Amino acid sequence: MKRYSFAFKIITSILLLYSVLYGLLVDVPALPILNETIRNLFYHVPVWFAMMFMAAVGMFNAVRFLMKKELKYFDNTHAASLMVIFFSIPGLLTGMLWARFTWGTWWTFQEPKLNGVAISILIYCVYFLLTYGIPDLKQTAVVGSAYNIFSFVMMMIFIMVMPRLTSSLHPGNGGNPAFGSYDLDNRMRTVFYPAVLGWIGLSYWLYDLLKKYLWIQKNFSGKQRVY
Amino acid sequence: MLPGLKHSLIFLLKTDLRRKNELLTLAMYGISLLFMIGYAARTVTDQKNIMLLFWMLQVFSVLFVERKAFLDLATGQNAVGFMYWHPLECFLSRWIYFFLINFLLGLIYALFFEMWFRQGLWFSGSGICFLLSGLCALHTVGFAASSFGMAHEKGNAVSVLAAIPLIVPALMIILKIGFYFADGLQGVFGGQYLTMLWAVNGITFVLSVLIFPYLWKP
Repeated sequence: MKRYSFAFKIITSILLLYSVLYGLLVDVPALPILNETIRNLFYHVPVWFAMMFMAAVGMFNAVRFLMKKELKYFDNTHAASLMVIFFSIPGLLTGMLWARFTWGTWWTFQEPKLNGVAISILIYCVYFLLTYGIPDLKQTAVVGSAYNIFSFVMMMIFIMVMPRLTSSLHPGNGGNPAFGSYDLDNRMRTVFYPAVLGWIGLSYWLYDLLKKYLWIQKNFSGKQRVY
Repeated sequence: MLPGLKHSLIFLLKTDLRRKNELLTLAMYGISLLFMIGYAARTVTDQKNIMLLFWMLQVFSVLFVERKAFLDLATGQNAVGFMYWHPLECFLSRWIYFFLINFLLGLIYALFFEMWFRQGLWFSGSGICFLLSGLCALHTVGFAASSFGMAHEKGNAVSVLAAIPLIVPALMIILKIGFYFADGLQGVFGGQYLTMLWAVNGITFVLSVLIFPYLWKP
């Protein structure tokens, strides 16, 4: 198990280093408006994938907690939710940067994807407010898990479903083609897919570290609760 | 099927009729909002702004009404209810009861909006359908948030806090439909957004029903 864990960390590090560095060097198609900003695809999209992966891990553990009532599953949910917030910040910043150079603005309220993202982050913030305010630990876990399931489903609707049904500037939404259909040529694929795997791997690595940190806090710092 | 549903509904009605202060609070709230609408009627003339005002008032009303949806259970005033009702009965009866209150308030506001702003919108077939759909969506989200607040020591505040980010998307879709209504284009574009609203509403409702049994008993 320890050997697999080590191999996982090595592979994740290699994939990340490769995608971050080679993403800056690889030849990209010369597309109007996008120009060199298309390289952001190697950073912006994988970060969101990592964030959604963490949200799914949190939801999965929340369901397991509600079924089995074992607090360790809620600890996992809590760690995963912290990772969701952690990855949403670079995701949002890289997206805003890209929007500035392609759409001409940092933020537009006409764009359903951006609105969906903002609302999803708000929902996850409310999750933390909910969990921090309940004195009883078991009750915290029940409410937190229930709200986490709710948050995940709502996030999927706001980010993945609703933008596809309305008019949107975002690629892959509102009838626009995604990068995969036309612009993502084979040179870019050699960076994009490793980047997705690398960032998802990094999210899991950080999540695992955070879980261990919470466990140590809980068992050795004398605190009754860590959330 | 669900024999406790009727019992729970009657119980809610009787409890509210007994608690005169709750009824008076609701009445005072309604009258204050009507005063605001009357005040706004002097200055707001654009149809889209009127629509925005109407739905913002509905959001406040829904949050105000929903905050006490589970208050009796949360504060232990009605702990005996846990023995009588199945969680589904408890959920459905309260959902129906508070939706009726919201719908009644919505109809009153719509009546005054028609009187003061002369919108000529709400008391047609499509207007009622829009009002019903919009209120149902806001109510379902507010109700779900209220169920989360049930387990919290500051339940009232938390239910409002939990409801606000959840209510925003529903409100955005409602306003989109509302603006089409204001432009008289509801027949062309309204249907797509109405379907979306009902889809969000349905998912929220199903999720709330599934999660509620885990939340309702302390």
